[in-house]
Amino acid sequence: MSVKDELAFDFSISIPRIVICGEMVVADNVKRIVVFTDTNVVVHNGSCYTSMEGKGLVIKELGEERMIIKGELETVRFFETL
Amino acid sequence: MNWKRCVFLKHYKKITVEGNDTERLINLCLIKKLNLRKIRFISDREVSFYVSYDDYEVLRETVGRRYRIIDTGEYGYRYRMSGFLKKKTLVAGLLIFSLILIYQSLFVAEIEVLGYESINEQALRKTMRAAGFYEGCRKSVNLEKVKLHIYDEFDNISWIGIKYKGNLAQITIAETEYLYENKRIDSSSPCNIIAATAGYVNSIDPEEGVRIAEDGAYVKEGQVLISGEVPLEKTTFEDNDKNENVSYVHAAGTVDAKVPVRLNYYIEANEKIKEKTGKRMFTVAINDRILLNELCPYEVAVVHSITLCNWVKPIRFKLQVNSVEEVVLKEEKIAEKDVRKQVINEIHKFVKEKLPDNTQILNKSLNFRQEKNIIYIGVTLETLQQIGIEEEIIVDKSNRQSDQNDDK
Repeated sequence: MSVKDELAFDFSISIPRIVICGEMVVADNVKRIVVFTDTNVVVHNGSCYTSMEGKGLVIKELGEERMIIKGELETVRFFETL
Repeated sequence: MNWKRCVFLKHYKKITVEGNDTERLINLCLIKKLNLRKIRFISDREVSFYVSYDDYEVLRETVGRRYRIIDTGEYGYRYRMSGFLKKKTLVAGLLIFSLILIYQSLFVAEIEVLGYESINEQALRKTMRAAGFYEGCRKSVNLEKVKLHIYDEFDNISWIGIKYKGNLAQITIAETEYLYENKRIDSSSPCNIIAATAGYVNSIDPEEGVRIAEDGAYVKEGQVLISGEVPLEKTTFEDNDKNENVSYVHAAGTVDAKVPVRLNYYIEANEKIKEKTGKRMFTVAINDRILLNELCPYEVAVVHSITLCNWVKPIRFKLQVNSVEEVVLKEEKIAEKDVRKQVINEIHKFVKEKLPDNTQILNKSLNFRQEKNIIYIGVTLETLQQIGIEEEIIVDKSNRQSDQNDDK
């Protein structure tokens, strides 16, 4: 990874960052929730949208542009704004 | 755990929100930086989540009339504590119970004595009570002082251990094994009769065995008096007689000896007499602490106590009423016959407790010497005691076997 990419990765505020560990998902740079159901959560990160699909999704914590989701995650998709 | 988490757990609520576009509500909370936890989707028009109590008011203002908020639960340690503190009787009862428990732990509820064999348990408990250690006393008693007191009273205790197990005081003692203790040996085993103590032999009456010590001889402690090794002379004529045969028997007999005993006593030359003045007052003592003791005007007084109640369990409570009589101390020179009487009583007590049974006192002499206020009395007793005790003979069987083979 180049220095530029590393800096962008660490200090970006508008690109999605998802960390998945088992049944826990940590999503950073969450500006707004677009859709929230128990099978699908779609969030707006500033520059694009992130969709997380699965079963029994519960937002465990929400605050300071960080969201922690617990549940059985199946798909993560990224959509760019038009 | 960060500070925000601590604040949240202090007091938080579980609410269900009903309305259209629940995502909008969550976004508003995100903008207002409200702390939301466990946001759960129930239906298109319902979500439930946990919110801290401080943020709840802000949420209500934010929501307005667009959404319906239903309180489904209240949690947090501060919420639980406030509910608990409202029950004043329960809090008071728990406080009193804790105080009783702490108060009870300050006293000894039970004393268990282990390890004694020849010592009387009642005598031991009496000695401990005299040292200030008894059931109901405070645990702050100096245990080293109690041990020293017991060592002074009982000569045959070699070790004392005092351990607390809660309110139970466990006392373990180890008694001394005397070197020349008169143990009974089986009559079929060979043994010698030895001297239990040093003295001058008065008479030896052997029933079995060979007499070793002569009348009038001085014998030391452990010296053989009647031997169990009986020499046998061979009756056959052989040129190569090397050793006499020895036969081992269980020696028996009585040995009387004159044993001198020296004792020293100290008595004060002036006897203190307490003369009552007739003045009296009453005081109350709770758990051996006299109330308002500093108000007693008497310099010297005699106190008589009456115990009204003495509980150890479930709570330590001792109530005593004391009668305090003022006395004046006077000194009177003690008469010589009183001194002599005291000393003779001590001698009889000593003979009864310390010397073997059947001991006779043949002669006694008292030597008085006074220095300042102390009378020193040196006592010399000439006692007649039975000093013989059995000591087993250990025979080397291999040598006996080789002698037997030579005979064949």
